[in-house]
Amino acid sequence: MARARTLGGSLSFGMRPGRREGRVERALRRLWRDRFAVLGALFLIAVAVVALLAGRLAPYRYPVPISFHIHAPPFWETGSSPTHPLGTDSFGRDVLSMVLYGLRVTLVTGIGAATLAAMLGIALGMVSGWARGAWEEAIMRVADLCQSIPSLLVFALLMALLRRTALAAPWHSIPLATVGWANAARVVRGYVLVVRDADYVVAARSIGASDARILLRHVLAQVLGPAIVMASFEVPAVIIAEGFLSAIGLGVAQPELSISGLMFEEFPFTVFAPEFVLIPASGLVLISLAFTALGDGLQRALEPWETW
Amino acid sequence: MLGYVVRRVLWAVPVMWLAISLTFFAMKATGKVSFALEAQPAGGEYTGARGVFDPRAPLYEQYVQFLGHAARFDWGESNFYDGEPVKQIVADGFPITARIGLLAFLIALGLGVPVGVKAALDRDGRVDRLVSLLSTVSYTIPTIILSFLALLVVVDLHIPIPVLWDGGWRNYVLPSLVLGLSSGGYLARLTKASTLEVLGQDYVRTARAKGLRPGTVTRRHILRNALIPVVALVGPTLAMLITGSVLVEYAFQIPGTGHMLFDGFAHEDFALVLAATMIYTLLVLLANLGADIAYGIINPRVRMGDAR
Repeated sequence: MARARTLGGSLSFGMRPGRREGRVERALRRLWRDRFAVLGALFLIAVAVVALLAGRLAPYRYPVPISFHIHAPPFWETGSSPTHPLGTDSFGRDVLSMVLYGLRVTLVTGIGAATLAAMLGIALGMVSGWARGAWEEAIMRVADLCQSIPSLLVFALLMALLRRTALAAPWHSIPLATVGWANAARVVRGYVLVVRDADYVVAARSIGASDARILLRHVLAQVLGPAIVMASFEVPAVIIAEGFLSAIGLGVAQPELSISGLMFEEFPFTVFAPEFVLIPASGLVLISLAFTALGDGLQRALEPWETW
Repeated sequence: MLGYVVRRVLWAVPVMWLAISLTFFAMKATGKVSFALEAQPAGGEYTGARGVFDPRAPLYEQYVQFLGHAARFDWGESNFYDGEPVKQIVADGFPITARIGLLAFLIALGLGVPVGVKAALDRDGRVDRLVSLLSTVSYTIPTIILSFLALLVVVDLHIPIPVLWDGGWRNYVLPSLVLGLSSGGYLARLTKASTLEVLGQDYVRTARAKGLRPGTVTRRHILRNALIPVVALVGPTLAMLITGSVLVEYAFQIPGTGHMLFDGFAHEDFALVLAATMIYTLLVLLANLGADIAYGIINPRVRMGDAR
C-alpha cells in the first residue's frame, strides 16, 4: 500500500485502470484547476522561451553602447525611433536587447539559487531530522548562523569573497543560496520529524528497508512538495537581491546584466527618466507575481496530508 | 527563562564572530587597499585613514587584530570619507535609520494587525478579499519597486514631499510608508491566519454562546490568543524590515546606515562595511531576542528552558 503512494510509484502520469491516483497526479490535477497558478506557469514558460531565444530576438548585443543618444524615449513617447523600440538606457544601450538578454540572467539567478537552496535544504534537513543527535545539532546551529546575519549582507560578503575569479552567470547564484537552504532545511526537518514515526515508515523499516531506501522512497516524497513551494517563494527575493549586488559591483560578471541589475542601474534617474526603471520593474513584478501564484497554487494543491 | 535569555545572549558571540570574519576575508579577497594603513610605508609618517590592523603583520595576526578592534566596536577611519572616524559616520547616520525603522514598524503593526483581524472576522467577505489582494500585492512587490512607485506618485502629483534628502521631517514620510506597508502586508497575512485558527476554537463558541457582546469576544478571547503566534513572528518581521531598509535607503538616497553599507561595498571601503555589518547583525539579534522574550511573557504555555 505504502509503495503505491510514493513518488517512485506515481511518477508515471498515465493512470492505469483500477489504480489509485498518486500524490503527484493529484497535486497536478488540483494545480491545473488553479487559474492563477496556471496563468503564472504559462507566463513563466513564455518568459523562459523568450529568454532562450534572446540571441535571435534581440536587435543588438547589449554590452556595446550602440547609440550616442542616452535615454532615447521608448515607443509610447514622442520622438522615439523604430531602431530602439524601448529606447536606450543611461549608457546608450538598446533597452529591448538588454531586457531580452537580462531575462536569461534573471531566470538563471532566481531559479538556480532557489533550486540549489532547496536541494541543500532537503538533503541537510532530511539528514538532521533523521539522524538526530550530534548531526542534527550541528546542522541546525549552522542554519541558525546563516539566518542570524541579514541575508543581503551574507550575499554581499560571500560575493566579495568569491570575487577573485569573476563569477559568470550560473555560478553567481551559489552565494545567493546560502540563506535559503537554512529556511528549507528547517521546514524539511519539521516534516521528517513527523514522518519518521508514521506507520508506513515503521512498516518499511520492519520489513528491513535500509535508511537510504526509506529516506529516498518514502520521506523524500513527503518533503519534496513543501520544499518546492518554499523555493518558488524564494525566487523574487533572490532576484531583487542580485540586482542590488549588481548595483554595488558584486553581481553577475560584466557585461552580463540581469533585468533587476538594469533596474538598479537606472534607479538614480527615477525622477528624470522613470520609464527606464518602469520597464525592468514591471517585468520583475510580473515574474514575482507569477512565482508567488505558482507557489500559492502548489501549496494549496499539496495541502491535505491525508496519507499521514 | 533567565537561563534561556543568557543562552540567547551568548549565542550572539558566534554570530558576531562569523559576521566579522566574513567581512575580514571578503576584504582580503577583494585585495583592495581598504584600510589606508595598508598603504602606509613601514615606519613612515601617518598618511591616511587609521585602519584596525597592521597589514605588514602575518595574516593570522592581522585577523586577530581585526577581531580585537571589532570586538571593541573600534571601526577605524573611513577612506572614502577622507579619514572621518567611522564612529562619527555611524553617529550621524544611525539615528536616521532607526527613526525610519521605528516609524515603519509602528505603521506595520498599526495597519497589519487590525486589518488582519478584520479580514479574518469578515472571512470571504468584501473586506477579506480586498485585504488579501492588497497584502499579497504589497508583500510580493519588492520594496525597491514600491519605493519607485511612491517616488513616481509624489513627482507626478506634485505632492510637497522633497525627493532629495534635506533632513526635514517630510523626508521620513515616503521611506517609512513604503517599509511599513510592505511588512504590514506580511503581518496582516499572519494575523489573519492565526485569527482564523482561533475563531474555530471551542472557547470562542462558548463565549459567544453565553451571550457576550461581539466586541468583548473579539478583544478578550480572540485577539489575546490570535496575537501569540504574531508576536512570535515579530522578530522575523523586524529582521525583514531591517534588511528592507537598506534598499529603501538606496532608493530615497537617505544618508543612513544602509547607505553607509552601500558606499562601503561600492567603493570597497571595508571600514564602513565592517561597521554596517556589525550594526545590522546586532539589530537582527536584538530583534529576535526581544520578540522571543515578549513571546515568553505573553505565552505562559511555553517553557523557555526547552525551546532550544
